[in-house]
Amino acid sequence: MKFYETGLIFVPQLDESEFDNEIKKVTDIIESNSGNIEKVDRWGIRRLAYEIKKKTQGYYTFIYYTSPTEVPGKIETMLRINENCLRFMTIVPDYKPEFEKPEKSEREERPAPQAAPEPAPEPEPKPTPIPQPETEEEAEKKEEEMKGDEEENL
Amino acid sequence: MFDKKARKSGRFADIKLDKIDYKDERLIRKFITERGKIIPRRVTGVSAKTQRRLSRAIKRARIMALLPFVEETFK
Repeated sequence: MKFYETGLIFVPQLDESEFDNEIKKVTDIIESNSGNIEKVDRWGIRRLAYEIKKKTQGYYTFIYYTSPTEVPGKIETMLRINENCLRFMTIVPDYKPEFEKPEKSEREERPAPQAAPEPAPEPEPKPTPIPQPETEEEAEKKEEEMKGDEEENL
Repeated sequence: MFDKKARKSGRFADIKLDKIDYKDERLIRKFITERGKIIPRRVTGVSAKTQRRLSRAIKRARIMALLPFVEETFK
């Protein structure tokens, strides 16, 4: 038994019950192979950093589970032929997620991922897709620079 | 610019790196340029081990379309 984390991106055009169904296909594989699901983390529809199959948005889900080692391979065989799945990736995390060992929970909680609640129509090319965190960071940088300037002037 | 004394200063000084998760976009974004390139260790001043973990996280985030392979937005 090993701990895995599988990230999935589905096409955004499905409705909520279809997402449930797609996720259930994966969790069923885990459970029918005596795996144990620790957590299913749904981020919801989110902008993609680049287009995949002409889509600019995707429905992100992350599944954390312990399972025998053949399970990730089975999941990947299923997802590879699944038209609704844009991307998938299974990793063995090199950090311990909080829900697994609660006694080691001194770590900071990751800010809740923002789920874009847009209904996701057909991909509309946006001319300036500047990511949000980048601009915030730049603002911080500018503040720091301004502080530095002030000190120099004094 | 790459003076060793300048290590761990500026924008990389106070970044907490006890947990490097490729899904933590806010953290990972600090270690790529606006073009999307990985910033070298001589600039960030992090340890070799941390840099390896960072670059692995960046590459994973790119595959999952959380980060761009190439950011083409600015001209």
